[in-house]
Amino acid sequence: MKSILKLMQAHIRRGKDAFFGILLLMSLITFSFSGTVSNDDVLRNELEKNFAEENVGDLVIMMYDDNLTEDMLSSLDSNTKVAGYSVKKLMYLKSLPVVDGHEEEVVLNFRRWNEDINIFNDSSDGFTEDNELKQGEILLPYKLKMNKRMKPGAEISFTTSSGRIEKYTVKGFYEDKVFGATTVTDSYCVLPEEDYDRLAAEELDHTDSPRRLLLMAAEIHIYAADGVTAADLSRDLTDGPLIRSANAVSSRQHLMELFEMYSNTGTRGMAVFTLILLTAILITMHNSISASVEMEYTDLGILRALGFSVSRIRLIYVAEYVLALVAGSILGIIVSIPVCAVLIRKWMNITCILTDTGVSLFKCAVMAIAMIFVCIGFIFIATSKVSRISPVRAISGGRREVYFDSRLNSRIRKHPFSLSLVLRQLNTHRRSYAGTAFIVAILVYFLVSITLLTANLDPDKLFSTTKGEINILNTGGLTISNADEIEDAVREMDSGASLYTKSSHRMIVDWEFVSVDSFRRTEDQYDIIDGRQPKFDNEIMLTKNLADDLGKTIGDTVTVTYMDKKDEYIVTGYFQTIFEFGNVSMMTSEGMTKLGYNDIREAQVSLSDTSKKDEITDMLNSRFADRLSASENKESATMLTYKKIVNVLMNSSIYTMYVVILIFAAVVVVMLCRRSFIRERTDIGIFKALGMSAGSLRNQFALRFAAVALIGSVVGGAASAFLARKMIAFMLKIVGLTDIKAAVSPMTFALPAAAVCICFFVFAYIVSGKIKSVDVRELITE
Amino acid sequence: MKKTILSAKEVFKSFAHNGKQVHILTGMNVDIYEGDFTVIMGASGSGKSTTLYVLSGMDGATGGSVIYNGEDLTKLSEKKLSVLRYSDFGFVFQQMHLVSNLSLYENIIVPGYLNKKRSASETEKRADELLEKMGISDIRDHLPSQCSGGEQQRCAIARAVINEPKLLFADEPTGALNRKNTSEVLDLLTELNRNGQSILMVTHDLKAACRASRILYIEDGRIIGDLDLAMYDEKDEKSRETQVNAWLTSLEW
Repeated sequence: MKSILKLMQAHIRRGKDAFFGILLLMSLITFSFSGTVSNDDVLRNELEKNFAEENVGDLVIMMYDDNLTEDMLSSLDSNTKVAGYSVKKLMYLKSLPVVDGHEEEVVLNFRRWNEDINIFNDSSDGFTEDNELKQGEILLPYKLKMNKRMKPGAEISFTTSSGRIEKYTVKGFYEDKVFGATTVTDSYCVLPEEDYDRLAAEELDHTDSPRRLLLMAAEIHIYAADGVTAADLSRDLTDGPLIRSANAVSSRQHLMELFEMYSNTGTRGMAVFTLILLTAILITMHNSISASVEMEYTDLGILRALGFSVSRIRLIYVAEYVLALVAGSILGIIVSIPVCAVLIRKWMNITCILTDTGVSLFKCAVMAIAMIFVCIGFIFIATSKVSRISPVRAISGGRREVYFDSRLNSRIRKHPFSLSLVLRQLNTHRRSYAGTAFIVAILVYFLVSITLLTANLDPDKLFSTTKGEINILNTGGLTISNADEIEDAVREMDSGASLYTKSSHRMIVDWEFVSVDSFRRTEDQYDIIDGRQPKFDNEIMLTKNLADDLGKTIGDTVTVTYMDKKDEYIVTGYFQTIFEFGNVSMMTSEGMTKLGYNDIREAQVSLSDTSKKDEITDMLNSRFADRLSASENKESATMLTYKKIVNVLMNSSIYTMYVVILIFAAVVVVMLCRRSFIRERTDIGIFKALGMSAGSLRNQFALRFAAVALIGSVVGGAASAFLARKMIAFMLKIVGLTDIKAAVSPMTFALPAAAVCICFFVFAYIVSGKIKSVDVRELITE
Repeated sequence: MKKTILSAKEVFKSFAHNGKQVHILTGMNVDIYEGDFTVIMGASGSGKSTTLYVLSGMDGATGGSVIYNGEDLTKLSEKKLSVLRYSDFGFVFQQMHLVSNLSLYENIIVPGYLNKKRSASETEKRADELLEKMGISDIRDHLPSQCSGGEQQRCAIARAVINEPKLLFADEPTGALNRKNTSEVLDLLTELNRNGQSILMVTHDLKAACRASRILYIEDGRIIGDLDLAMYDEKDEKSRETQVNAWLTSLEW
């Protein structure tokens, strides 16, 4: 053992670049995944804790109080699959709130204050001790902090069903443990007990009002009996009135996934990234070990002649590289500690819950150890050529079979002279450079994939909704049936104008409770993957995700149930959307009214003569005041928030990955260059003695690695052209995107390839600086 | 009157070792003449190889000047020295130092391609002639590792003269060879000199030194002996050896 340690120390001293190179690469990998793993871990732990504290049911049903009956609740009592249930009350606001005099496009709901509510402190890294809420104050969920107007001290007002204006002052932001994620459209605000009770009582007096702006609702938490899953429970209750009358039905798991949506995508991406970097490390190690065996051929022969067995010699390499890998893992995890804290805090902008910010040391260590074991296996494979070293031959200088792994097959020419020498060098050590080219190929593949991913997650495309100059809010009377009347009225003033409407409600499609959308005009509504949009009232289009879940293909029939009506619809095509994680379907307006649903959720007017915008807006407000409220169409605060989140996520992820990959490429090329330089030192000295200038030798050296990078880039680019879409689809399936359709331009491939080639050339040129500084005499010392 | 091709004036060469200065050349003064086969001899550690490397510009001097063609080599930039190495000078090393992944032919032709004054075809033609002359034409596509020491050294000589240098430097070119190969290499060098090639060679071998037309003896970093000889004729080899041996003995070699 002592001899192995001594030899290992000597080996490290001699080949410091390989040791530190592997150390650095391993630290990059562990640094990269520590943040994601830790974020996922702390988030899941916090969610489990929060959901337990809030006693969230296995199934959570939201419905209007008007639709909830005692019989529905009694049916739960007698259901053997139900262990129990609880009901929480809330209020839905059906008008837009006004914040400091400006109408905000945000959906607010109200809960009653309770003593368990946590209010964030000013720096949002903890909670205040004072969580009391006085009359006239309101607490907003943390996700609304991104809205510039909604800050402490701002005044929020809204109109009640009786026509009265209610005003509140924002006290601060609280942690909504169940519905607080930015991925949940509605925002649940907290009102003081007295104000909440007063509004609830007032609402009860106005149930017959034609314009009900505050609706009482119930949040029913159903707990599954032992051995019953949420899916079983949902299927069991599907045909019953409870689910058919619901506004929304979510499982506990689904509610948690709302918090974890983006981090799960990040995890999948990071898994692929880590695998790619690990492959690159394995190849780099192989190259390094091969070069080491080759250069130390004589020394290894001497060791064998002295009695060292092959396995002992291989242990030296294993010990050296394991030490580098372990040290790198520890370094990577240590460096990630402060970065994790920052990352997890940033992630709070999406989850809106307070979590720990520490690194999940155990999980990160386990992952690092698993990777080290894979590397150990690989080191044994890479050192297999040690067994082919003949002691006598090594000592007497015969190393032909080790030194050359190819015959000469590219001519040396005067023009182009440098290039012909470069090609000769590439041919001479083909296997080694092939490994390097492979590393480049996978790095370029990943960079191209990231670029494609960005293009497909363009927020303007993902979150585009119907467009128009005038936005129409349904105040209670806007229906699919009277949409024609409104459009005709608009066309009296602008003959080229069009009314766009969207209706949407959760319905049961076969056995899944999903959002069903319909549009007055269907062009460009969704990204169609296959088939066509529905044209007739018995047709429906599904997302690929939903179709797979239901086990349906184009041409099959699904049953759609809404309240007490159900009908059959033929699947005409697939589309994809990020909304509702892809649990969305689409039918015609006629198909929807057939089921008895006639409401319009949102509407816009698109004008051909925009100068008439104000005039038409006024006309709509005066003529149709009983059913709608018209205003200039501005992108909603929610949509802006979503776009901002996606932009921030995408940009920071991409820049980080580009930087990590280029650092990785730089470390790899420096390691390989140093090895090549040591191996070719004498040849470089000879060329210098023959009259080649240092500059020309450096250019050749750097050009060689740039050529390797170019070959790798071509391979990586070609691989990404065929495989990247599938990989990205796998990563994005979790958020509802199943088909990657973004246009590919030459720049998609050229930019990553150029970045890696330039990186290789630059760093090879830097390492080759030794050519200039080392004396000819020193290079060829006799 | 012989023409001076290279001139060293008060050349010093020192280097630091364990904190102390070690002086190798201590005020070397020597002129090398065109057409001469000059040999530098001396005891081990006397500075023979250092003299060769400093005079050829391969190594820098700590002081003094080395004048070639009116220019001081010790003050030339690395770029200009590079040009000199392929255009005006040739170098033969003791360990041959052929590039391991180039064939014998390619080892010869690579410095030839650096010469911008000759076209590729002219260079290739000259390389073919040199291969023939050196007797290694039938192994032209072999790698150095596939050839004997003598074959490699003959290739190294061909490489050194591909661009018809003004001065050929040779550092113990027969040091790593057996007797047969030594004789072949010395014959080649002698013939080159007969055809007008100026040679400056370092050796500790008496037989190799006898091929010279001039022998310089170095001791403690300075030339302390200078012997002129007639052009080599193998018929006079024995008497030549006796003459040189006597001279060297007088210098306590």
